[in-house]
Amino acid sequence: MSSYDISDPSALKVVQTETFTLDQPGPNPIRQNAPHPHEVLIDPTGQYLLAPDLGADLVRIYSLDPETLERTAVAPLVGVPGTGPRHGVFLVTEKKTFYFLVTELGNTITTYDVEYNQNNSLSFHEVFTTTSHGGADVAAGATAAEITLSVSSSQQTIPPHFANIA
Amino acid sequence: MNTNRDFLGKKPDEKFLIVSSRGEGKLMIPNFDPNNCTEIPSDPIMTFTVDHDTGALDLIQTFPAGGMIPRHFSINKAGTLLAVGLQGDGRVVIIDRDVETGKLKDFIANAEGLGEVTCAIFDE
Repeated sequence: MSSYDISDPSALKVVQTETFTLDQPGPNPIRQNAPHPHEVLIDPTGQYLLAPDLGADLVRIYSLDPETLERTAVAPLVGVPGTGPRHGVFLVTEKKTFYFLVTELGNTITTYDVEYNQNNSLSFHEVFTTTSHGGADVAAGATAAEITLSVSSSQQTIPPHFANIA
Repeated sequence: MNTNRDFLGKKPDEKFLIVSSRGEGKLMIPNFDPNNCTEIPSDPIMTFTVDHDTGALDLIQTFPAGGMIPRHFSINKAGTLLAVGLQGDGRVVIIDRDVETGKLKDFIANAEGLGEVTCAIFDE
């Protein structure tokens, strides 16, 4: 997972890069033989970076330096083993921040109430879960893919001089 | 008085969550080739309402994605169109969408022969 400074489009500079390892394959060894960060998403405050990892059953969480975009790993969101977190989306309401996570292997959609902690980390409280078909069984072999809200006003875009690629 | 907020009343407002699923092929839709009457299989796109107090989701529609392996889709700013990238069929479709009800309505455009599509976004 790499961050690039793109302020000079003709000379991209790597800000930070890292690779991941798994001690052992996940419950679905064919799909979870290695970490598979599937996207990167910045939270609505711009303070955190999230990377759902299909292979590791995690959503990796990082605190971000707003100036340099350098990131520091904090406690991850630990998913249900074998579910394969793929994509997520934030929703900011008057009182709460929700994070909706879709899993590719479990075909679940889970809503988390996001808590911003004093110690520069996030806590995720599961408040709802269903299948990609709204509770109905999902066909064997199906894999949930994309998730979005009907508008994305609370989605934080990456500061324009940075690009982040997973 | 007609305030700005009233004027913007028809904007999408995060009331709906949309999810695609791949590898099912259980829905049958008309062929996009007008000269071919053979129906084709399609994966689904599910639309849920979002309870902004509790975060709960309620399924309101299952609609064909326009073919197989809808790896990615996006919605336009007005919320009136959904663009779906169908990796399995090498196709992108545009689906008409009702902003008020959140429901998908019709396929209004398609492009074929695109290879393994992984992303479909609006330039607006």
